[in-house]
Amino acid sequence: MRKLTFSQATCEAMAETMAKDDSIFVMGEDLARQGGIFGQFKGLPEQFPGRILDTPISETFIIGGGVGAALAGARPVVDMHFADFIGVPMDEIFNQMAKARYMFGGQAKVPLVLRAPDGMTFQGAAQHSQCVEAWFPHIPGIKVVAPSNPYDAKMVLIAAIESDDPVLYFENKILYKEKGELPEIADQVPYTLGKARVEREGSDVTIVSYSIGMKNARGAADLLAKDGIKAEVIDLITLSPWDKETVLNSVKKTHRLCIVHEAVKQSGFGAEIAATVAEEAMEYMDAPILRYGAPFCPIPFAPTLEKMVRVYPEDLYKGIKGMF
Amino acid sequence: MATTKAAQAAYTQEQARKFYETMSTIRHFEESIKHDSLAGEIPGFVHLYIGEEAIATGVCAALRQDDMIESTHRGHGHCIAKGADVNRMMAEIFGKKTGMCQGRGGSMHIADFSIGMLGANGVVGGGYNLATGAALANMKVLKNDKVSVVFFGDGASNRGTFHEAMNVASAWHLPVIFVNEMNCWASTTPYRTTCNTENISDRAVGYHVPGMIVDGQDVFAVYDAAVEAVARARKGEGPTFIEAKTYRIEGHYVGDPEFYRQKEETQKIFHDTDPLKMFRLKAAKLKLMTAKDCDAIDEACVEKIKAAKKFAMESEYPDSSEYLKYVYVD
Amino acid sequence: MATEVLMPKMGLTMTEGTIEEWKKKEGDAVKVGDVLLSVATDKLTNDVECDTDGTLLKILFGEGETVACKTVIAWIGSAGEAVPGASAASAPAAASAAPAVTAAPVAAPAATAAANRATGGFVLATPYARKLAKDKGYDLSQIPGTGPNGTVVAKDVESFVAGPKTSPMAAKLAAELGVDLNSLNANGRVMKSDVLAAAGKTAAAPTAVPAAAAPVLGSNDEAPKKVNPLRRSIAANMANSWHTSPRVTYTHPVDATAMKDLRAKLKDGLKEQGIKLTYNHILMKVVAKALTEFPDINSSFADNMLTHHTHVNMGLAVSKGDGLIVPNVKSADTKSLAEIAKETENLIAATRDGKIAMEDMTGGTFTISSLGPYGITNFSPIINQPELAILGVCDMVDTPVVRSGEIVIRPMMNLCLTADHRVVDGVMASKFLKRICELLENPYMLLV
Repeated sequence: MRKLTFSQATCEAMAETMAKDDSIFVMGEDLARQGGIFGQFKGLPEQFPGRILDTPISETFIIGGGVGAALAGARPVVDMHFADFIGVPMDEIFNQMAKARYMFGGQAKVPLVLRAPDGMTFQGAAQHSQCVEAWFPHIPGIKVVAPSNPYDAKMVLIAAIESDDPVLYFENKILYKEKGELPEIADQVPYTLGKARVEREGSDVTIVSYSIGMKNARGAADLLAKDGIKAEVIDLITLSPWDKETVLNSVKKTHRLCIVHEAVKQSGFGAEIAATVAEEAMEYMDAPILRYGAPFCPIPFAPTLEKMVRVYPEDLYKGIKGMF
Repeated sequence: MATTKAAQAAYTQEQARKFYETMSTIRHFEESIKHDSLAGEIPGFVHLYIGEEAIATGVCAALRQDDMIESTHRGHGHCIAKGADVNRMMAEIFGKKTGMCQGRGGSMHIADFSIGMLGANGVVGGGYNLATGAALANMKVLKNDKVSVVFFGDGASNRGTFHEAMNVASAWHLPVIFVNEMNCWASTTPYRTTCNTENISDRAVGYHVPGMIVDGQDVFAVYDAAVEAVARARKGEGPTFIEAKTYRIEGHYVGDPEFYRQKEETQKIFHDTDPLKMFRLKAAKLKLMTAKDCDAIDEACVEKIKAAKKFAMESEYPDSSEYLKYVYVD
Repeated sequence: MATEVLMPKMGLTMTEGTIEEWKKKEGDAVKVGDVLLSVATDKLTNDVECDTDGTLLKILFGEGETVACKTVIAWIGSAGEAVPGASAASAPAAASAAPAVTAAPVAAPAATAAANRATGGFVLATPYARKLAKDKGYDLSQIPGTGPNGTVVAKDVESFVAGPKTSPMAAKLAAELGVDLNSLNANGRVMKSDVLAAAGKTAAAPTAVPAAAAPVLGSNDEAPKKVNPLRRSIAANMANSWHTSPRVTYTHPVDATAMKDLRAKLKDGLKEQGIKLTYNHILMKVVAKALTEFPDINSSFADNMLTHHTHVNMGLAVSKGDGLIVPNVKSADTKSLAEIAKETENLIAATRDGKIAMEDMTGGTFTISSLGPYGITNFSPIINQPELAILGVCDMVDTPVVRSGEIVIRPMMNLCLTADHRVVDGVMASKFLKRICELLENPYMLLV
């Protein structure tokens, strides 16, 4: 087993795929000279000269041009810089990227990956800290992933690049520095888009999350274990299409569900999971479904305010205890 | 501002025939669509290209089959000019499964990727980035010499996407041609009320992109300009901006009551500048084709379009159970 | 914002309570400390005090209605304030550690049934509890809920002991006569005869079935009146005991001279400690000691399983109003006479004041019931389930008896022991009773 950071793991994914397929290229702001604002493209410009492009500050081009490049037969990886800027090329995402395959009756495909660093750092404030993944599973035609650890970071990115469908890859900024274990390259297991993982088995409550939310899920599970409550922890990994079957099987066993994500709770992706479970496994539920997410508030700057919009494992612990 | 008058090179009869045949096909196709749409037979919105045929024809004549075009909501002309099968086009517009988009796109999303027609776009201004991105891929990634063209109206040139694409195309010398069909109307709004420039191509100067103004009703002029632009692009010299002056004869869409202008005015302009009429005059002058030649082509087109309509009518709608097909590749 | 008044949880095992009487009405001003209502369970009735100042805005459940603990039963607030809807309770999370319902489930059907009435027939239950109940064939309305607002949760269903198997005729008859099938506890199938017997012995048991048939009115009958909750539960408990324990009553006379002497010698000293020593206290002490020598009698029996109780929790039947309740002194076998006396007096006072705690009403292992003050010389008391025996104490009567060939007058008192013959055979019962009499006639043996 090797130890890599999340950031290094994504670089490995890029290097492996780009070495095998010349039609893969990368474009975005501050990638070629800086190696990405978070160092997540470090070493790649040197390894693949001319295939990592620094664009102007033109998000509609970065994404729309990526779609055009894909329609012409290339396999672009386009970088959003901060997920907060994804509002600018929204038409390019939901009207062009998501629709091309369908509305042209299968003539086209858009094998594009849109990488978007998201999430709160410390005092990043309102426009550089957001988690916006919930907007995209609402759009038919694109896929959405959000890995939580370095091994997944690598294998999910490879799967996204190798997919012929457009994939939005949300990578959490805090997770970049976190280390995790990866097997030797020969032993690595490919990831299948749309599959969740039961990271920890349990019998008493199901906790579902993804990306950095998994830290809260794991933390809560540890606290609950001390009280003899065994939580089953599920990492969704893919949000669209999401692994309904794994979650449903789990709640049919535990009869209690808690969902957590860093993004705002109201209309967050947790709502989709909660509604689906209520719809398809209602008779198995022995307690109301709990969702944890940020309060309905732009992310403040001052530390005394910023801490109020975070979710902590203790929050889940208290709520889940009340389910028993 | 660079205004280039297209030089009158020598044209063959074959070229001339093809020009007229394309324009006549477009004209008769659109007339048929207009008729059927007004009769309530065609579902959804259709936007007619009548009076602008010379632009699509002239530009596409300068392209190879594997060159790529990005079209607009007013895309039937581009599609025909790029070489699409009118039967399958008609079927698509009627929503039949034999359409090139298998009935899933309709008029506003008509496309034929096998001939480089990357799609009509229902979002005004949606095509610039797509064409520019395609140009980027072809030149820098796939390393071929294909050229991209994006057609757009004067209204569309006010969108931010125009500026982002022009800037990148210029900065990176991409093989993309910006063809502005300056038809003076953005839906119900005349361009003079929303642009402070006489010519849209004035903007090209700001991006250091060579610009040309041509008479969009003169297919020969358009063709010449396109040939020049294509040559530059293939040589790696970057983008060109062609402003083809024309006029939107029909309303924005079929059924548009056109409260915003005088019918007499549009009819007069049409009478004076109808590109098919202009062609006849020029072809005669250049001794390339006679009126009879043109009439014969017209008659043939009438039949061709009738056959296309018949094909569409006899085709089936796509099976309802297949509505989820093509959401994803896998 | 209006404040909720909740059905209180007066003890660990209480799951629901019956509103006996509202002492205030809607619109009355109330303040902290006012008695709002009295609440009855099968064991006791207590006053519920107000904990906030304001106006009693709305009463949600009326007298005689039974609801689960922590259910909102009324609202107090400012006069004229709007009251939230019935379902807007900020009930605490289901943290109430109520253990599973044990085998005295008489009040349960009425309780959740009353909740049914309040919510229009809809039983609050989690979906999973609903599914489990359906799978097990339970009637959800019979299961008391421990979740918020009395919601039935899965563990309530899992720990629910369903009623006995019943013949269709018996079930129909039970519904018509208002007999609670759970109170019959027959071994095997409940048949029509069981139901008829129960109906004959008891007043109408508290069931949810509104269609309980009224007795047929003859010209000699006044209008029937529904009895109070305490009577209802006594009725049900007695009928249940009758059917559960095959009992035999054994009578043994005891010469109370030594007991009288003991009391005479001790009472003044104890009076200084504020304790009023009675014969009942002495009996409690003596019987507790005797029980330690007969562990099978200080036990409970069910499904062929005999459970010895480590200590003797000695119950004394106390009259309250027109009924009887039995508080008990825990671990009486380890306590001195003074301790027993003092504790018993406190329990009696609490009972009379309506402040007795649930814990003091439950957990008893033996009961003493005295009818001495009424001149009774013989009676066969009914066992207090789930105990296995009960000692009836009769009047002390000066009686001529023969001692050493001479006729003397002695204060003779009959002790009547009823014992459950499933466990306690005649010989054991007799030996036990004899032992009690021995100790009473020679109290010095208590020191040994």
